[in-house]
Amino acid sequence: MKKIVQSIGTYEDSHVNRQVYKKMFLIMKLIMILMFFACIQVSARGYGQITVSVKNAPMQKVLKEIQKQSGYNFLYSYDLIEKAGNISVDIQDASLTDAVNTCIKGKNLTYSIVDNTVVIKAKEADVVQQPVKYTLKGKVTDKNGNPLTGVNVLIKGTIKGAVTDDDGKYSIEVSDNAILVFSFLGYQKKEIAVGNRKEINVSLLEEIAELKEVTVNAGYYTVKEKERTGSISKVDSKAIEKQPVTNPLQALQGRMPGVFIQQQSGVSGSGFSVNIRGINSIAAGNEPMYIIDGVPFTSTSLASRISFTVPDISPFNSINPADIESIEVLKDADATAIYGSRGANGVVLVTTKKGKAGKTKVDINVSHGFSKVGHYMNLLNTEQYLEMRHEAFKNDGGTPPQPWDYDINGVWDTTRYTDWQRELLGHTKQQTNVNVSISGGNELTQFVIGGGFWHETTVFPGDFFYGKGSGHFNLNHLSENKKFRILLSANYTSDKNFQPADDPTYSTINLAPDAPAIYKTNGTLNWENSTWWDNPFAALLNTYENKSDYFLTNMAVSYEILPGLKLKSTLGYTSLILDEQRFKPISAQNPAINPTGGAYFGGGKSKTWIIEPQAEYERKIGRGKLSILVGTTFQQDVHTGEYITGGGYTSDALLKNIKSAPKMGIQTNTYTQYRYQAVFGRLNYNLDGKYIFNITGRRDGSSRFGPGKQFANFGSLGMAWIFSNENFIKNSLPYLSFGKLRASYGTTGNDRIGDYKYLDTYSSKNAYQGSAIVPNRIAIADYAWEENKKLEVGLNLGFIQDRITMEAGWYRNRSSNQLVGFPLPATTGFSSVTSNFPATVQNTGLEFMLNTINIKSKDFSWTSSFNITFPQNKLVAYPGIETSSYRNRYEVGESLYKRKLRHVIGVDPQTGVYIFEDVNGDGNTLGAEDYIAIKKVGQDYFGGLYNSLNYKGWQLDFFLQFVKQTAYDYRSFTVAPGNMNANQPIEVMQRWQKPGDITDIQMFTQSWDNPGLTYYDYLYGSGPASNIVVDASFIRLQNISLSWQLPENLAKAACLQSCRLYLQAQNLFTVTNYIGFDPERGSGYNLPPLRTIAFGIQIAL
Amino acid sequence: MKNRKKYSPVKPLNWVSFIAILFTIGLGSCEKFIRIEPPIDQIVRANVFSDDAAAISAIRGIYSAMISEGFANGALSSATYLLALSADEMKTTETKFQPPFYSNSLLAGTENVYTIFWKQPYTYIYYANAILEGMAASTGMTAANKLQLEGEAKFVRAFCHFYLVNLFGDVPLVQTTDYQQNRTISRTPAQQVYQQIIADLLDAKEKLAGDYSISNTERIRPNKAVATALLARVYLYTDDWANAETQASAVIGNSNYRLLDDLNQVFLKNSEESIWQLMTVTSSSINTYEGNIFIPVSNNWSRYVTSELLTAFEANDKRREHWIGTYTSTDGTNTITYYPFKYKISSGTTITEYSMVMRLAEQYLIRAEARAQQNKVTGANSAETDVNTIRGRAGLNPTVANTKAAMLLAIEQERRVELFTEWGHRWLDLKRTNRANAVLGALSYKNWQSTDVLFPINTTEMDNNPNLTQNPGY
Repeated sequence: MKKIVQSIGTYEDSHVNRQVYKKMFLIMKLIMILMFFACIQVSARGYGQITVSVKNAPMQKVLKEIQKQSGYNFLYSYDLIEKAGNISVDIQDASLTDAVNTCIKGKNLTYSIVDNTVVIKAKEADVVQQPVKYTLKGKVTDKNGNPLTGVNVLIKGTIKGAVTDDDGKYSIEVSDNAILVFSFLGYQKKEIAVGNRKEINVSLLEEIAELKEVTVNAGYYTVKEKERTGSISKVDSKAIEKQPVTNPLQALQGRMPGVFIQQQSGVSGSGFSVNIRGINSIAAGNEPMYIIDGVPFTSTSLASRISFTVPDISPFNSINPADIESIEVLKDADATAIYGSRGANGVVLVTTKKGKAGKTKVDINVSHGFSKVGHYMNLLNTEQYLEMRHEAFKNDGGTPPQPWDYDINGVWDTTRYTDWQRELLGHTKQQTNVNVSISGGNELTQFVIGGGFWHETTVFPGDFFYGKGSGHFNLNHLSENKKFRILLSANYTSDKNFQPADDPTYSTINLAPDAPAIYKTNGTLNWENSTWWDNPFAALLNTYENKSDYFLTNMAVSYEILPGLKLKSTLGYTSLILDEQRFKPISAQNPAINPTGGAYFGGGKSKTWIIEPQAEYERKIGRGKLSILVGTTFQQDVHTGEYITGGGYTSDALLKNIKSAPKMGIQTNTYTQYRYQAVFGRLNYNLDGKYIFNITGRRDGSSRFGPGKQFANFGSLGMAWIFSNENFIKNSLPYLSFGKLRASYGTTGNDRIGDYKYLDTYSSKNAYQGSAIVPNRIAIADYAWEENKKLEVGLNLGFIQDRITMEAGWYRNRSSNQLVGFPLPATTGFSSVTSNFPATVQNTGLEFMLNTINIKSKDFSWTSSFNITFPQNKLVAYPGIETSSYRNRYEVGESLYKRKLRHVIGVDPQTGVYIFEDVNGDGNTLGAEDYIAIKKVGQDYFGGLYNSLNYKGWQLDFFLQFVKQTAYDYRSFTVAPGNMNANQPIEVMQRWQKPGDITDIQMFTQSWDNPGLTYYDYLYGSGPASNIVVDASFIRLQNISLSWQLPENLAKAACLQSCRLYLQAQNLFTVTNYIGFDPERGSGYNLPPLRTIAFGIQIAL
Repeated sequence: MKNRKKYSPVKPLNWVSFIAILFTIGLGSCEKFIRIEPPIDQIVRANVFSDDAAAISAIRGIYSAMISEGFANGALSSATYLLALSADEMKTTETKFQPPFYSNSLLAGTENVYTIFWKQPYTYIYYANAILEGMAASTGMTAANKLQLEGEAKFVRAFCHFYLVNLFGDVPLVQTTDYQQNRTISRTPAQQVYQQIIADLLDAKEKLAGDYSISNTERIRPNKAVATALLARVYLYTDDWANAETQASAVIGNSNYRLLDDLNQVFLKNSEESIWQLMTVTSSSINTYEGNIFIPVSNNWSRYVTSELLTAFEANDKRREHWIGTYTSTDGTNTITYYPFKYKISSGTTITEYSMVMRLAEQYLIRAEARAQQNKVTGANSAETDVNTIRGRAGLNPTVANTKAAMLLAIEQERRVELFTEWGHRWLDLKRTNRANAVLGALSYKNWQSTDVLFPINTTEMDNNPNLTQNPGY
């Protein structure tokens, strides 16, 4: 050993070339590291074994004794030990390391343990110079002067350190040439040279999320934003907080390239359709996979569909937006292949808030808002309406209005005018939102406890409301030796939604403007002598309510068993319970018919558990870093649902009790179980911070497939080249601060086809003198996974110290072996069969994102962010489409968004009715072969523009969403103009009136004897036809938020850490040419998105 | 330096073996873990036919489906109502789905034609075929039950094919559950379809029980007499007069059945005149959907009997008195609505009426027509005696018809006023006797074309089956 020491000395002395020295030093360091690890192992074994008590004895003698008791060999140079002289020790029941430490204390010796050998040698520092040691004291605070507890104070290059106490104070023994490193979770690291100071007070700055430090959650692992190889978009809590929304999905609209989100209805609690990179599957689900804190989250509504007021009740309402830290969307193969069969449509990861170390902090956020329908349709007034009706009768051969045509035959008062839209949808919705959270902790343990309360009324007349309460809890703990980590989180939400049983939106267009008064003078509902069947206020007495309880808990434990090797397991459980009730009281019905009441009870439960044991290993190899992750998944979902009806009630007071129903029926009672098992892995190698390789794979088994088809393999390869780290780039392109080229290719699958589809089974119908069962389906047991091959190339650039950053991506997803509910003719007994078909669907697209810091000065800053996506879809191949059920719907080489439609040439100037093109010339213009017009109903491009301006305490954010698209116009939900009791948009006044008129609105008609009614039906109902596909593009000011942060001294004076006042608005205005309620979803059956303005205050104590 | 290797504390084998173990556990338990039990709300097909009880549930499933869904349930989208519109029995002011029926302007895309008259009968045929195939492989069922169920399944198959062939002409004859075969099946000539219907009914007649013991003496599942009655009708439709007479006589001679003198009791549940009824299964206060949709409970009632039907009744016809209702509106206009009033209950939780599918009166009229066609116009055991039996019950004088042609017209008239708004008898009669052009073509509110006697094949169905062709005129 002496020889080794000497030889190093020789190299050092002789000033040989530096490289050799460096290399040697590296090897030495490596050896030291390895020795250190071994040492830790030994210490664990050797604890509490050694007892030696001597006075003034030679050290060699003591060491021999320790050698005897511990069973370890000792290696040292005799010269060295002799020089150390005699020692006096009193070691009682000590560990090996303690014993040795005691022996060599103050002797300028050091030791290391390798395998079973203790090596003792001279301290290197000894060779240099003996520094002066003394005790240094100080205090660590945050930038506001609050003491930070648990801050690690470490002498650089050693393992010696201290931790700050409750007052943020520390003391440590240092030498004057030492450098102190202050580190604390969530704060920037600070290094300070001691010099010869006796006191060092430090204030730490909070970590600012700049691009280079930003990490993104990739599900099973996190990755630095700069080093990611996959395509992952992220929206963080800052963007979500600024939007007064109940459903977190709404806060994502327009914010992420490649992600298209549509609101189903303006009624609270309604669902959102989320589409990541287009339609991959002709028939299986295209919804992404949702994961909340590592636990799969059901995206399917549990609703039993007893009411459509709240379409597809979104389970996401159960997630309080205020509890969300970030939402990441995984898009390409590199990011999603680790999810295997479930990743084909992308993965949405929701991460809830975690506690931060520091003084216990209380955050309170209270807001109140007002909402109204953003846009009404421009409908006919009474005068125009009557003109339309009279003209319709004239056009239909002059027959006079019939006895039942009350709106024009004199029974109703034709001078009345009611604006039904404002009457039924014109109220102002009030919403109140309160969120409180308490968080804190030290470096090892952090927690957050939060609670939220939300209440809102509706725009409908009546006492309808939506309310929810939620609780969120998160605890993080790291053991003292930093090896064991445990994380526990829980979310609970309970909500109640009370709404009209039928969305009154459709009534507003479907009522005559001269309809009678709603109430009689005595305050009771007016049925106008039983001539007014459709009193909309009677319909409002039919109520619907749903209550849901949602609970999610997740635990993750990990232990570092060896340096770099971590064992980990996550355990998660979610439960979602939905209860629905719909009532049809007697009071909502015309008393003239002696009505009875009805009640509908529905609901569902979804329970999921998941266990995912994993192992992670990290190691430096050569100039690179290798990370390996392997794990397995066990998951089970159980869904149950029921729907019970009660009828014949003679009293409204009994409605809520199913037991008092004179007749009762169980309509559905369902149960499904889904089990899923997989093994997955990831191998990542980062060479020099320049070249990154990422391989992921998964072997999946799903109970949704029949025996023999349950397993499949999925995998991907991702690569990134950070060329800005290359010297030649650094030298030649100095303004380029970051540059990365990335590419990925891989496969994922899709098993969203529902459960048990391979099983040939019977299920129950209503009992017919005893139980009655019928077959469920035509089952083919051997269908297999749909396979999705994803290719992506991306470029990330940063300029001028990343003040301008951009990301461009091109993707191509090809989905084949399509699992479709293949349409069957009814002669087979069923309308479809689940099976694999050889169609290949391709989605390609360009995604572009640009972030700029336009101005950054001390008081003022302005940042912008812009994103745009150009999606394209194509049915690449479909052998045998000519003989398949899809031959009149899709065409090979065309987009699935394109529809084959009947072609409307226009309105016949002679007859005044629509003329359809007779394609096959068989004289029948409405035949099966007459679908010729191909029009796209979907998006050409979409995106958003976000701006944020800061001036001192003021902040203004606004976000514009834009969509270029086509959709069906108002004729998809209206009856033919002229028909009874239905109002029409003002545009119908451009109708055909007399031969020779050239227009694209056909004549008014009200009789089936007039072919016009049939043709109108063929525009959509039995159609659809080409002329109702119109431009539905829009630009919307989706969000604007203005806030003012109280100056610090003012806040302090009020004993607050901080205080912020804000004003937020959602859906403020929309620019569009679309005729209808709202271009986002061209429907007239659901309440359009609302315009909301909210103000609030956020304080931290 | 050479010691470096020796110092390495990381034992690669440790974690490699650990991961290997993890993988093995994962993979090994895979297969087992994802093997799940069948759902509790579904029964695997093989188990359905492992014993009598489950198999009987499968046949009940067909009737439960029939009375719950459109085609056979008597509601707004039923053969009873829509075919009454297609013929000259009823009109409606409803604006959406029914008008194409009463104006005879159906289109290849008219949804109800497809769902009600095509899809549903073929679904019941699938159910029936599934039972036949399931039982063929079954060893756990008793022989008696096997026979009864086979008879019922064949009866249902024949019944559905009968309506299909009448409404659409040549239709695919479906005798298997094999979807690959049924997916591209072509039309079978109507004559061949009838042959199979007759074969099924003859077989069913052999196998079915003679009484209603299988359904607790309620007349809600087909027995031998039900098959015989339908067989009589099918022979009549195929001009096999002798057989039609024989089969009808068998039913008329069966002591289980008799014509009821009180017309208000004919449509009560299990009435002695009923041959086959469907019982209600809904949880709402519905006795029969016919009662529910026909009897007005408010002004502006949208369904009413045509003036043609009203005037078809002779004076003092008890059927006009008891089976046609009048409703005077309360909106001040005193508008009178005439409606079919065979079923007396609009809604009510006590069930006293079932939906009639086949009844004895029809058998008398079948036999009358078969006899007239065989030139047994008057005298003993002639058409005259049968017609007079029906007329007598209605309080009318004996018929004056004494020639074959006059008798056939008299029978047509009697069928019209006896069987109106029941299962489309009028529509089928006008078609099979080639009288549709003359009768319906004369009505101003009809948009009549001679090709309207057959309904259109649905566009989607033709999309899904490339071998299907359209009927003329669509």
